[in-house]
Amino acid sequence: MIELKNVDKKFRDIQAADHITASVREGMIFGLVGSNGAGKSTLLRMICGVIKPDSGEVLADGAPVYENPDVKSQICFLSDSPYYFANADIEEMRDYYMTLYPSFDRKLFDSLVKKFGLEPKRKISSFSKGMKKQVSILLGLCAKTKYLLCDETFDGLDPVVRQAVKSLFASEIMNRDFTPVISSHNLRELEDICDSVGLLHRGKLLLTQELDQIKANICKLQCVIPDPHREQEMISALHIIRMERTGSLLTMTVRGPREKALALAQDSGAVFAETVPLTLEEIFISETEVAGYDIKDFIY
Amino acid sequence: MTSKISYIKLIRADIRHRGWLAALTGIGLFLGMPVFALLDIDSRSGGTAVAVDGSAAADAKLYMLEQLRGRFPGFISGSAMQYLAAAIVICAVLCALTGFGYIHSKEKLDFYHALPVKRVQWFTVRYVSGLLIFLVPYVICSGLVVAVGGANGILNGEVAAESAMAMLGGILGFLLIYHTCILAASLTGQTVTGLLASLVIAVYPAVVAYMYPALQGTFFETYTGVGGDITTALAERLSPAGMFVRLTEASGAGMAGAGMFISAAVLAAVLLAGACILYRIYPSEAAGNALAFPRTAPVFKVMICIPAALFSGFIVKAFMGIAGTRWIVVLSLLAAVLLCVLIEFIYQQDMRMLLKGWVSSVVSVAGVLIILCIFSLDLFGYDTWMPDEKKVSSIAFNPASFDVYFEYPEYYVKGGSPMVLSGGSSSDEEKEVLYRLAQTGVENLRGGMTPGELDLADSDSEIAEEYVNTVFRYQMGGREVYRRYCLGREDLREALDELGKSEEFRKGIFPVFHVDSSNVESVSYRDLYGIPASAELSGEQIGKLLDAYKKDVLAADMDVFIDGDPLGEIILDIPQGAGDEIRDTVDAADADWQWGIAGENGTVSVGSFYVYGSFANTLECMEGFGYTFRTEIAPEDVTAVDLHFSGESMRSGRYKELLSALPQDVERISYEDGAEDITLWSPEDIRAVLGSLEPYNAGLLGSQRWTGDYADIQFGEGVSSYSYEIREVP
Repeated sequence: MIELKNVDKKFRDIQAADHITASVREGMIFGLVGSNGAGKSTLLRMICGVIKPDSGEVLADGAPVYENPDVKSQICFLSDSPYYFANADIEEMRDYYMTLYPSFDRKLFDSLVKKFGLEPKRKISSFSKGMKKQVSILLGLCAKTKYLLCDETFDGLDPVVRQAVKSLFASEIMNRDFTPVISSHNLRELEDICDSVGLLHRGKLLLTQELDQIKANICKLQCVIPDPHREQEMISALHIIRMERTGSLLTMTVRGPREKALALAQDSGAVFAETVPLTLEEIFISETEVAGYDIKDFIY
Repeated sequence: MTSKISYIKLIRADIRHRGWLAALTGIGLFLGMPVFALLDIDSRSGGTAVAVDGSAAADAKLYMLEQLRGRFPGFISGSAMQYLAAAIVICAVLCALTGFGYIHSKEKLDFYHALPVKRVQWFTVRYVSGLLIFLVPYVICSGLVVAVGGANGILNGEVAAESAMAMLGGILGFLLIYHTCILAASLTGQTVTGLLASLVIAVYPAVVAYMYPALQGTFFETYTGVGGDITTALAERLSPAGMFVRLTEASGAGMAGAGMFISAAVLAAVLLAGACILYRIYPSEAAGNALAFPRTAPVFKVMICIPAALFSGFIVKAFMGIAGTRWIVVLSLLAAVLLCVLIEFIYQQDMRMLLKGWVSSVVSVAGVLIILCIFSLDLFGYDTWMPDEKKVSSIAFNPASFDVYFEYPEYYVKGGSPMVLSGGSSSDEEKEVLYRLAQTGVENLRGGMTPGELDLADSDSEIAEEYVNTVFRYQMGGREVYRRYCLGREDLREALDELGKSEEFRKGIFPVFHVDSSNVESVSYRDLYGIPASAELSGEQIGKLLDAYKKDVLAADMDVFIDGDPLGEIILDIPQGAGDEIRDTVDAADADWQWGIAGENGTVSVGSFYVYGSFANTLECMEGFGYTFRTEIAPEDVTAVDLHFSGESMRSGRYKELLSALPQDVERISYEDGAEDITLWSPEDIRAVLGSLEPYNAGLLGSQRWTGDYADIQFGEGVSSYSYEIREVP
């Protein structure tokens, strides 16, 4: 399990990580979502031991990560812009990884390279951006580390490869002790693949929960309540994140179980009431809006 | 995790990734070492055997072989070929920056530091692979150079040992620059600033160490460069660049001692330790920033700006040939402002942010101003300082005229300082005389008569005639303090009369007492004719002659040395490396060869042992050996006289009487400024002017005024090496 205990990191005047406490459970895919500059990359770089937190602790399986090769041998970090040696081909990079990760699965790597249609002898510098990402993912997967940190790794992959990579992740999770942590702006993508999600905004972790739990705990309630007094009572009783009115139709983003919200609306004499589950994107927008990151600020 | 095998694998991988550098280093060193050595030896050995024949050819070959042996270690250290020294520096910079430059790139840094390897291990891997990239080809090429030497018969035990030392010097030189660049890379977040930082670290201590004497020399009238060895030593020992130059040169000349190697190794170790510590704490987020540790930015700015601004001020002044010290203040302050702007731009890389570090900019400019105020206003009273007489254990002095009048054998043995030779009185009487003399110097200074003013005065001016700049050395316990004063010639004369009463003092200042007669290989002399003539004397005769000369020197009145006209001089040929200091003679001997004052192979000629008419013992001794000093020039011995008159002399009619004695049709060359050269060929004309000519000798205090008019005489037996003074009346 990866544990972040009150982790804090500041770059000059910028608070990149603001006393973050979270944990990533084993055997689950953890998604890291956040606004631009929220600190996702910084958090991943701290988890893999590239950056030392100003304060707090980053632990993997109970041991600190920074400057701890034994722990780091169980973590592989795939940067958003992967680095390859000048003039290196896939085989050279494979050999280098094999030097550093003793469990590196060469057979699997070679077969995946073949399956992905990558030329092993071709210079990586001549590959497209997406192909470079593919190489990076294959190297990371075949390193056979327990934790794989992917910083926007899926961005730039074509849909077929993306699907293939998702399948590979699922297969790895089934076959061994494997915990990927994926940061991405593509929330739709993460929604499909992640078991749990951490939402970062301006260095703060707004929430970290299993995706099902998040979804179960937030919903969109649409209702029409003729009696304004009872409507007000219902509004006061709900934990509303966002509210819009179109004529007599009230649309609210509500925190709490869907059933409870629906029951409350019906008890308030609603002539019409229904709850709709939120997508991860909607949850993201709602939660960041609460934290002051409002789309209206960009539009108006 | 990372076993020994992994280390080796990582080093191998790193070297493979930097294969281009390994290839470049190998080719560069191969061309610069064995190939260059081969070509150089071939061209030198090919040139000499042609010109000489018989036994002379063998001698010449032997001489050439010795020259090549002296030069040989330089093929390894780089002192014989500056391109090799430059190649070593470039290799060191490239090895360091290609090895550690990755910390300046976010992508590379993320890649490497995310891998399961500790930073110290990365440091070791990168360090060792960079070292090997240089070391392997360097050692192989050194071996090839030695093989070239062996094949050409240059190699012997001594040369082999010196070559090994040169190789050690080259390796240590490489390490100094290599470590400097690694330290600089660990301090910065960009390769460009890393390179700039390398330059700063490499030369900073030298600039600071030289700046202090430079400021003293510029602003203090009594400052003298003599005794500045401490700052030079500091600059060389603390500055990687200074140490590199010293190390490669000294090890290439076979003159590097254990002390030099140890100090170089210590400096290299300190730089490496600093680099390792900084690398370990290097913040990963620093990649892309100018400096890795932003809080140090203002400190570095102030530290760099102040000496660099002062240095720039001096450099600009020197290049522009600006006189006076006022412009240094202006130029240094201007340079300080510009440097602050430049440094801030390097930090921020944004023109709009140039004033961001205004506090450190103000501190830098104020620092420059304060330093300039301290020196230009002499706030600590440097010039007027006199030591407490009771605390002074001895005082030595050296009037500038001594340097012209005396020629010490130590010059060619130690390349030594004349201050060691001029006095060093410890007796109370002598000390008191010199202390009072120094006091007159301070009084003169207060009265406006400064050494600088005398330096700038014309040689025929009254000031130049009446004053002499004199360096004093006060010894107080283990401390030596030097000052330079402008002293009146009469004050000096009185002091010399007083001091000359002491035999010890005379033995201290007269060069003949510094000569070991057993070391004198041959003697020659010059009389009024100024043509060197060899005196064939046995060792015993040489001893007798020197004893006679010493007696005369001790007995003569000091005024003889100050005002007297010598009849000629005795010249002694001494071995270049007499004594134990043979190694130190290389530079001096090279200079001697260049200026043509060297004697036979391995000897130098030391002259200026002036013989005066009152030196009865010397003259008698020489006559006894069959050599006579001619006291007059016989007109029949002269074939031509060249008279050179300055424009001012011609205008003033100073030589009217003399010139009227010459026919109108003599060979003349007139110059635009009124100066004239007249050449006399006819015996009558020569006879007419000969009585007006006498060899020029300034005397011990340089007291004879130099008008700029002189004559050259050609004798039947050769051209005189003296210049003759022209008297106004025949």
